[in-house]
Amino acid sequence: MLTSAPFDDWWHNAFGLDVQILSPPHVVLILGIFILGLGGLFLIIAEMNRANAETRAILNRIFLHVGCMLTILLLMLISEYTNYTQSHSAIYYRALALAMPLVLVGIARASGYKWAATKVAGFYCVLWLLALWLVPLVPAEPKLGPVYTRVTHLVPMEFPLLLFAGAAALDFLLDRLTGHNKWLQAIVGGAGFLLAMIAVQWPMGRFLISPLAENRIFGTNYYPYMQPPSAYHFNHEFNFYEKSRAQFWVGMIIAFAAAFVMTRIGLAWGDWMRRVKR
Amino acid sequence: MNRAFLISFAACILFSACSSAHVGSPDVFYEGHAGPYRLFVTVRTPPMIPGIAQIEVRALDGNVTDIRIVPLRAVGEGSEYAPPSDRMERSQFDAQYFTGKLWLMQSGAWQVRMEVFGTHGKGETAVPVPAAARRTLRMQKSTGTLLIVLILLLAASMIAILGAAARESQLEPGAAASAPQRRRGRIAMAVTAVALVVILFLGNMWWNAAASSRADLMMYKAPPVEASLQNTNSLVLKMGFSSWHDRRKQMLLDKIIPDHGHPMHLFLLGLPDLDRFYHLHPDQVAADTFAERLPALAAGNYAVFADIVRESGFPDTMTARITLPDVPNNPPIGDDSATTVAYVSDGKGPGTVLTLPDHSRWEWIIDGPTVHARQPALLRFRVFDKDGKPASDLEPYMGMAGHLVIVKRDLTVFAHVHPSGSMPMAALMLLEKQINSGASAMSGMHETARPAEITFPYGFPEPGGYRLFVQIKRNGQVQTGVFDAHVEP
Repeated sequence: MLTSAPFDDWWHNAFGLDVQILSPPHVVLILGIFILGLGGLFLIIAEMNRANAETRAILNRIFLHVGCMLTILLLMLISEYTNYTQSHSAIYYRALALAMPLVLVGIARASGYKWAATKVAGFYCVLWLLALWLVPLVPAEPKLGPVYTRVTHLVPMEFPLLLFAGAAALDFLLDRLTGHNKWLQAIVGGAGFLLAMIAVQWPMGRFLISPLAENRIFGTNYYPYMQPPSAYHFNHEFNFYEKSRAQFWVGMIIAFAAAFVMTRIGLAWGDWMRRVKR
Repeated sequence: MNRAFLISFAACILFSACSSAHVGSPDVFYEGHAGPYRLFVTVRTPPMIPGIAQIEVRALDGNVTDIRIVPLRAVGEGSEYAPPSDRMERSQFDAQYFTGKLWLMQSGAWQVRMEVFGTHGKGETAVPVPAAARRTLRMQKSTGTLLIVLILLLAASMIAILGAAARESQLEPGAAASAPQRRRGRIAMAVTAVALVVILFLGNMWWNAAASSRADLMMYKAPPVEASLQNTNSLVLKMGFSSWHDRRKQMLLDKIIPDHGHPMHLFLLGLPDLDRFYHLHPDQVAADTFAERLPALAAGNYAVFADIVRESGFPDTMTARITLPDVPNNPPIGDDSATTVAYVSDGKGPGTVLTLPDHSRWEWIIDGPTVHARQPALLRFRVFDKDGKPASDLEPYMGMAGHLVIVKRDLTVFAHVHPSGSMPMAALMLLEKQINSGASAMSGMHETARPAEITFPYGFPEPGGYRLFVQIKRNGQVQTGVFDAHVEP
């Protein structure tokens, strides 16, 4: 995290301030935060693995909380590709498949409790909804120009991903496949995660671009100060990342492959964490 | 193959160079009124956008006590709502000198809106500021060294942590690792080390690619322009595609608008000595094509500087070179003018003097013994009749009291300046519509009070030899005074 500070400072001096999240110095920073979170996970899991049932249940809540923070961090990292306007593009599912199964499966496996991944994803969803509904109550004004949209309060991030659907699919399928070959678990779990995400995000994306979502509950009526009125329409139409049907299907195949590989790594990581004692 | 075709073929551009609004002269200089106060404003634009512009204001008339500044887009979206204004800092040593800074967050046409307070109440003005990224920074050695040390530290820590994880993470606390576990730890450390090298290598590749695409995305390039001669005396300029402009169409509003009555101000400068000077105004014959019948012109190589202004007030100076043959004897028409430099004054000053063939006398009044780079000043020129009296027959030339073209000898600096400043008048007029301060955008005409003296606010961007072409109109005739200047560091 400290390394990213001088790097980021230089980057902005060299190339200007930007709103790019996936820039090299930002990735260094996020990796730093992520590794710090991992350290926290390991400290808790070592205690958990040596504790009695009662203490283990308490530690599990802390463990899932830290797991949720890591999940949110990863979601922030991929947020440039998981805007609801991209939910009819393969890149959206590629990003989800690359980032989510690893952490959700790893946390759930290490936790050992039922529906652990669903709880992590559900907690993220609750936090995000609270932010969406409460953040706009805070008065604020932009301090830098150009101000394209007059703003009098903080502008929240968008409606959360319905990640609990994918997480529930992982929890359910991996629970049913306990004892089976782990590669099989990875194939079924990864595919289940992605299919569940497509099943909910595809129609949800269609709903969020519709006028029905332009309210305080779903929040697509908020525009940041740097968004000109002439660009408002981008919030209400799909942004198709792939330019052809073939590109889309190739992207989807990559997404399924990534979901499989990342689920398998998540299983290995989670099983290893179950055995950590110090 | 006919001769005209050969000439036109040979006369194709030799090169077209990168430039900013003007060339090599990115700072904005403005002299004008904010209500009752006359101000000299300098805006030093940042080399990278987004970046911080440094603003300097000198109150020339009136007792100014406070100035507030705010950045806005020049026109269209973003010109309506302002962030909170910043208060400029008043100098401790000079009560009429103020400094401040503002973030310019995007490339394109901006305005610095100013509210000026003083003993005569409040005044308001707006200065057009074109913002465009010019260069990226190299990494400082100290930052590079620090980052290398931190990378090594992080890599060593990562190797140690993963080694320990493989060796003893699954042991009860306090239990010693067995020989096979220690071996597993060593293998894990070796694998981690190799993986880190691969990650750092790939990271470096990504960094280089990201840095290069970022620079490519941000860095301003003037549109390329191809100059050619057709039908023995018709100069045709065809603008090429510019990805920088194409990406910013929405912000630049890239349609070309007239700047004091002409869609393009074209300057041909005879090479290598800058001894022939043509100020021409081609017609726009297509969206990207301009054409003009050349006046009488001596054969030779010419540097081409073509000024255009976009609908947002954003200026571009396109550059090219062309080799031209002798052009038959047409006199310049309309607002066109031509000069062959026979009479030059050397600006080693103070008070350099030039006498034209009609025996009128021009003076460049320089404060101090030398001219220094990066020092904003009012360049003052006085015109006297042949009998030594201040000239009383000056007329507006294209609506201005005068035009000044400044060229560095090596052609790395080119600026077209008016009494109101270094920005295009079209940009100033766009802002005037938004401000009801009573100040005229054509404030170059406030010189009518001192008809024989014309002033141009400007600061030479770098040391070196410059040639200045000062143009005025007297009795319906355009006159060009040529001054040389050596600018000290």
